[in-house]
Amino acid sequence: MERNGERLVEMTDITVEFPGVRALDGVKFYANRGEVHVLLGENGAGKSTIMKVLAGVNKNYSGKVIYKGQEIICSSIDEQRKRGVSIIFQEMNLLKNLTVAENIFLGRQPQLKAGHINWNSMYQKARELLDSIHSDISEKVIVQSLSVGQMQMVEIAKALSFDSDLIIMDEPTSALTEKEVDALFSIIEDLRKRGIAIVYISHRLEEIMKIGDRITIFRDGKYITEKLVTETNVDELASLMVGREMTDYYPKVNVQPGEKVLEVRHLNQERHKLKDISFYARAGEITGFYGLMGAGRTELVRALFGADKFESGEIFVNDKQVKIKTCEDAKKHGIALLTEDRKNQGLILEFDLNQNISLVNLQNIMGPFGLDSRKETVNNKKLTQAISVKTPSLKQKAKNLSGGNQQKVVICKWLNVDFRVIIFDEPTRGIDVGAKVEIYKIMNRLKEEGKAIVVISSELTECMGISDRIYIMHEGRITGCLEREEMKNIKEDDIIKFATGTYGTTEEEDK
Amino acid sequence: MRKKVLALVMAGAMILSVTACGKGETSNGDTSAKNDTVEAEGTEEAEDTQAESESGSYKIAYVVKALNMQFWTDMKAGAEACAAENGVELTFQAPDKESDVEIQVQMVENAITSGVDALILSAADSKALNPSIVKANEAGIPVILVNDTIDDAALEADGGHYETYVGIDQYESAALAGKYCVENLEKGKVAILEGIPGIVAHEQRLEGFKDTVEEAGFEIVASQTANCDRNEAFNVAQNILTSNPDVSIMWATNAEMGQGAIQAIEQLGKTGISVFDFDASDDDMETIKAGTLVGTVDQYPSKQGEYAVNAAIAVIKGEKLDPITSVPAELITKDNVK
Amino acid sequence: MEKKKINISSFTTVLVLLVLCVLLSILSPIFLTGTNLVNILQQVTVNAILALGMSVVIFTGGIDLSVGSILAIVGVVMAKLMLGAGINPVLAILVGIVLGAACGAINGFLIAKCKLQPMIATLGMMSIARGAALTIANGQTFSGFEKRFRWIGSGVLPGTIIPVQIVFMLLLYLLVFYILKYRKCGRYIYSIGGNEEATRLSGINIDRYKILAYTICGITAALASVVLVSKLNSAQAVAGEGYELDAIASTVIGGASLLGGFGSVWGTVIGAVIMGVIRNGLNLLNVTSYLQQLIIGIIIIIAVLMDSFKNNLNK
Repeated sequence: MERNGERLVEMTDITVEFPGVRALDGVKFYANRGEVHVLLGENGAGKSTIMKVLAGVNKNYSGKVIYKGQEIICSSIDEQRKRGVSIIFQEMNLLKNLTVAENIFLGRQPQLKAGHINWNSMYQKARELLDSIHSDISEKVIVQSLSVGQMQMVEIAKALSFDSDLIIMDEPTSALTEKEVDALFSIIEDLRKRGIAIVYISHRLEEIMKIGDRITIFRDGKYITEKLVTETNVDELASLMVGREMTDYYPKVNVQPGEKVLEVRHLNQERHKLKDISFYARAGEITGFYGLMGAGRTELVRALFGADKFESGEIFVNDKQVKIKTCEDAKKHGIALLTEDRKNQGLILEFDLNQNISLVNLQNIMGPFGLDSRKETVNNKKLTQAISVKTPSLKQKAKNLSGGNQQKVVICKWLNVDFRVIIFDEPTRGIDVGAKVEIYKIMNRLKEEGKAIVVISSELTECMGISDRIYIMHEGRITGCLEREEMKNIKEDDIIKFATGTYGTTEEEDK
Repeated sequence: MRKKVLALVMAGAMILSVTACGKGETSNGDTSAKNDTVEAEGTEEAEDTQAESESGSYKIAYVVKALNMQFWTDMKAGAEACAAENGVELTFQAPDKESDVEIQVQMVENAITSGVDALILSAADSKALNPSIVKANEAGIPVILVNDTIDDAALEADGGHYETYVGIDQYESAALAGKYCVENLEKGKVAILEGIPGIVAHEQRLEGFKDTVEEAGFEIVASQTANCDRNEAFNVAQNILTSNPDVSIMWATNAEMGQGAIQAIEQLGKTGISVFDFDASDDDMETIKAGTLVGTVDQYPSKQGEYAVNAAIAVIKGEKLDPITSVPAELITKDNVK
Repeated sequence: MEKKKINISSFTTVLVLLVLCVLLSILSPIFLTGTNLVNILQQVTVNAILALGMSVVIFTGGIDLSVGSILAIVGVVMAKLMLGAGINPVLAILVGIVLGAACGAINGFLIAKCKLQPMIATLGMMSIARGAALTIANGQTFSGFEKRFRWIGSGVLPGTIIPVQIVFMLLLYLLVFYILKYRKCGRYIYSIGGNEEATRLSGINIDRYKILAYTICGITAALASVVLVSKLNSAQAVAGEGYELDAIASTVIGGASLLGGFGSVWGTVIGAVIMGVIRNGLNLLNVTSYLQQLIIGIIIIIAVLMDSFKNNLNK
């Protein structure tokens, strides 16, 4: 488009203060038409904050904003929307029980004379919008039934319905499958060709290199620098983001694996289509599980942790067969599980850290008269300091911590128990690079202590980076297994073939 | 999903079975004991008359407000005895609680549909049963009211009528207790425990006593509801006596509240308070003998039952009755306690 | 169960209580007398004991509508044993407690294992227990209990004027408080209310502790029945109707969240006292009955609003 490259918005000297903390300190940012401008930074760097200012969500700011050549004040979401600025949040704002079209035109439904909704017109307009982004989602379907990726499409259609010139996307790919990410990227391409300015907030370095034109880096609320994608690389970005040399994304330690700690033979579960699963995990070793969403990995670990029932299969801990019917059983036999949804299943958000951490092993803090709160504080302090949980006090409510720290708290919880095998289900989802490395280091420490570790991950590089051996799952079966020696020679593409079921379902191919 | 369905089915079954059991009691010959001796015979004869009904004895439906108090079970005993003596088939029904007006309406309508020869009713509400009475009229079933009055004007406006009202005069009966006070006790301060607000019978009992003693110069220092509940009466009496320590007479419009007041007085260690209540329950008799209750108004519920059944039989036979069939009430004191 | 939050919450509740007391002592000279204050405590005892068990259940995020009916059937059964069969009061009380515990355990089982909603399960028990009580009693009321038994509800501690029932209530509160704060099962009860699934996935047998909570509620209902029957010297099958609502109101006024996870038994007892103070005050001032219900309702709403207002501030 002719107008591509034209500066649409320029923000200078933006400062935002919250009680006790300066979230943004005189930062600057700009966006041009037809360009994908990435905002990169760790959690808490201020990327969401500045975009919330531009979108009109946060009105308490100081500084100058020039939009379409005129100085404006971003005072409300409605006003900004009318000006052409739309934001798509990480947790989307769709009403699950309404249709796609109703969501797109919420509050602005086309009306007939008598004030009734013109359904035909609404559905037609919605269809046009969806077509313009090559989406085959029906405009009449209820949002509840859509996948996360599809909901994102609806949000984009909604943004387009406002004739937006600038669309802000906050961590859009955090819950998408790889296929959905590709679809999103091709739409972004399209929008770019139409002359729309895209602000893309993310900390996924590989993606940024693929989709971005320009990258601005924030750190601790301050503007650091700006780079063109063509002039930089992932390593440089990582170190700019974190403020130090990132030499090792996936720190690995070499430990001699011990005995089999956990072994599963021929596990079947009808409900989630788990078929004939057999695997093992050894002490001092990280066993990775890779697969696409829906491969059945979470369902598998839930089953062997006693969270869900399964029909047949044997579980062995330290070579002795165990019966696991409840989570209590699993815990007793030394199995620990850090669930995928750490907020709603791993923590009690409204309770403080003390309570969350001790819950798993209250026996530990029993005194002569019962639960001893002094013992509790001492114990929890030791645990949280050992893995550097950043919190002003243990009396903080769990919901006030950042994602990375929350995950560390969940780890502290289980460190209270003398487990033999610990299962991490997507442990670094939604966590920035710096915190990720800290968690990998914790896993390494556990490895050195002789524990068996199982890690489920949907990020192939991560999985390959930290695991000593990998199982690959596809639609409820284990389709591949890579032992230690094979790990060095395997190519990413091969693993993906296992994950998509293209190589067949037996393990003979790779042994 | 399966678990949810199972849970729903279980819940449904539970609720069904519970409501089926709880929907009220129908008499099957299981009466509580008071003084009437005929109940054993009554049971057998009721069964006999069932055989007779095939050959055409009268069927009477008797619906009251509840069966959870001695007053009603006494009435039931009296009614069933009378029915047995006369060879009539009687079904005595009531909802669980006096406030279950809707359920009573259903019972009445069921009785009408099953084609009884007469309906005896102690209405749970002064207006809500009127449509059912009209339905009975239209079905040619004579209606007899007992113990509880209804709004006559409203019934007339609806075009309904009943053959007679069997009962005591609540106002006059309460006045019996008031007269006793005037004649036998020194003028003093009076505290009153009222019934559930809005129930006409209790209001009449309240007025009957109050007017009689006020006329004679007694002073009413407190009048509070205790909702016909013994525990509440205990608490309310306790509070009233705390703020009015020189109360010498207490009047409660039913026996449960009277007994609650007596307990409170005992607990406070007070003496010299004359307590009167209404209903003449077994507890009342005991406390009169013991001297903690001075008097109670017996409305002879069993007599009411008997009179009502007799009235029904008379009406079926074609007699015309007076609009009011008075049943005598009596003040029971230590002089005439049995 | 943040400590700070509880203190502020109890503080608001105590504030409401103090305001009411000041108001009433101005309006009625009798209110602040020793006799009246002791009366109030006696008058709230039955409800306070019911509310104690109700609080435990509410802390797990559940509710128990059957406490009034359990109170009735325990009363009737104890009466039949003591008066009808001449059984020793101590034994009769034990049977009553076991009966209450059994009713509670059934509630807990239906809710934990059969996954019924607490409201529905306890609604069923409410009808069943009431129906059973009415059937056993068959229209009778029972009275004339022996002095030893009646001492619980109407006696005083030897050598003092302190009523036994108040001491009994306080001891129960201390016991339950200790369990909730210093025993593992107490923590679990709160956690289940805070986030049931997270608690389960922490390897805790939540079914067991849910059943425990409802059993405790059944036991307190039985104990409340002991106090009531011994106080009134009579047991009736119709006793306790509507008492569950007062118990719930006391718990909510006391600052507990109906969603579970938060609250303290001390808040509950203050809530019960507030309700008793209101009723007592209205009696002393000779306010008519129609107005009483209205006023009680309004004060409950004010207390709860104050609590949620202050909660939002905290956020």
